[in-house]
Amino acid sequence: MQRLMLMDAFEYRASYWFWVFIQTLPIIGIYFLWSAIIPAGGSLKGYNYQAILTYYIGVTIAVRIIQSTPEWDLNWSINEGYFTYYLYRPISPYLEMLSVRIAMKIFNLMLFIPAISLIIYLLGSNIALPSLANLLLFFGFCLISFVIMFTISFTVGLIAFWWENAAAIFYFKNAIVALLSGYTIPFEFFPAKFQNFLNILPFKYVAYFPAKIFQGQLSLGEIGKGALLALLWMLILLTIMRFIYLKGLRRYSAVGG
Amino acid sequence: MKRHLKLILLFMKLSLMKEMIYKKTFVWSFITITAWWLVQLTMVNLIYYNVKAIAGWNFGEMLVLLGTFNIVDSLIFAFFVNNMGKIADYIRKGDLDFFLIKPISSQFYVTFKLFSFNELYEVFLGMFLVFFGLGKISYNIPLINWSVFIIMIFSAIAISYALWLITSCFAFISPRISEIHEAFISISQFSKYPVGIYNKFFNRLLVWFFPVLFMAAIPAGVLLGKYSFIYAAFSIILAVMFILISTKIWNFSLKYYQSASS
Repeated sequence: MQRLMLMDAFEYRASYWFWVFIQTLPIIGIYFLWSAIIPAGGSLKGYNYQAILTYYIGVTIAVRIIQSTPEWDLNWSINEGYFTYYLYRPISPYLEMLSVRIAMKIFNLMLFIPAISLIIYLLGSNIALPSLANLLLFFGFCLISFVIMFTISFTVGLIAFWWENAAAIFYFKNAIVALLSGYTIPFEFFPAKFQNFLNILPFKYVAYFPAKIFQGQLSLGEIGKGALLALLWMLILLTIMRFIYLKGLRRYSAVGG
Repeated sequence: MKRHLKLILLFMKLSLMKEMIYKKTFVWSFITITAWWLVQLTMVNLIYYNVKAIAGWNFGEMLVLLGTFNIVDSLIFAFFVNNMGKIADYIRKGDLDFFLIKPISSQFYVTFKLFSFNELYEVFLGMFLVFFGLGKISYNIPLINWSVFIIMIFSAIAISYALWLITSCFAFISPRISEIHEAFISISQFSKYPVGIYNKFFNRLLVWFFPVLFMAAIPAGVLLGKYSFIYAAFSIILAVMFILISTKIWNFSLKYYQSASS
């Protein structure tokens, strides 16, 4: 199954350089914007120019690893009735979609590595590269974050059981995640009280926390604590997902007969 | 000309009927647009909490710039996003055949066929930002600046459309890339920031060769009296030029189209 999906993804390699191009554009924008905001030698909220660019590169890589969009597949398959085929299979739809996503991810990342290396090379001394240990910790942490984000998206996708055409909600969720995860701007720029709130939520582990590891600003103890909390959130989210999924399934079979 | 306008109105009416089928989606897209708008506003707010100006633009001026971007962005999305997004599909599936036999230019038909009403909502958010920003800087904008600004908004729409169509024409070479029209959306984001942040190379590139900065950054600057009115003349010239170029490229690209039937 995973091999099949991999082959499928290879088919579309024609569009690879096009995607590299699209992905590079926002980084160019961030580069110019922040070089205008933080003057050479200055710093803002503990970020100098080099640190803020490193943060955004970390976020870009983390999001590239973590992001997956099962909600669209769910929406489509539930509305078209294709979801029934998922139910015939011996593994749960959640696990099946997750494993398919992982296969696609591995492929995408293989392609992403040359692209991001090129960008990092071009930025040169404008960013501070992480040590090998931090880089490995970063990738390891992204695995947990991947499952967290997948579960959130999957849960939101379950809305399709109740509601045809839930696309707008998916975009809404993306906006919320973009703001609360530190993807748009680092937490330090928020007012102190709001930062406490952001630090409790699970979205933190999707962009801000991995980016901090990438920057090399967290000690091993802090990373360990973060990983434990992230795992705890993973369990909570899985429980919520399972609960909503079972409710939705009852509704699906009630409608579909 | 009259016939074209009539057709555009008809297309809009049909699109509205289609959109109204999903009323809940209609309402939710307002919420989504507002949410994304707030995300962008929060970011700007948080940055200006710590700095006084970016490349010479203070908070109020930046809001005017963002508002201008919202207005133009929303108008071009309402008119073109669904249409440009479909070009690659038409080519791949051979649907373009049907447009070529219509008694009206295929470029016109492809450009205006689908109208997206819920995108229009962002125009109001943009106008709100422009006036709110102007209130923050509290100096009076002369009437002449306003009229020039409005003319520049129209040329901004024309320029953006032309650039969008030109990028979408790449689909004729490689119809497999169905997201080709998104390249323009990504590039257009450069117009959200003040012109002054870019280095010389990007500045020249984005002002003269792929003039997305005429979408918002330059019109907002002219409104605020940062740039001279000569830029309004430039924007009109560029609009006419790029519309002509886009028609040329469209007609040229059609030669690459392999019809489904023959």
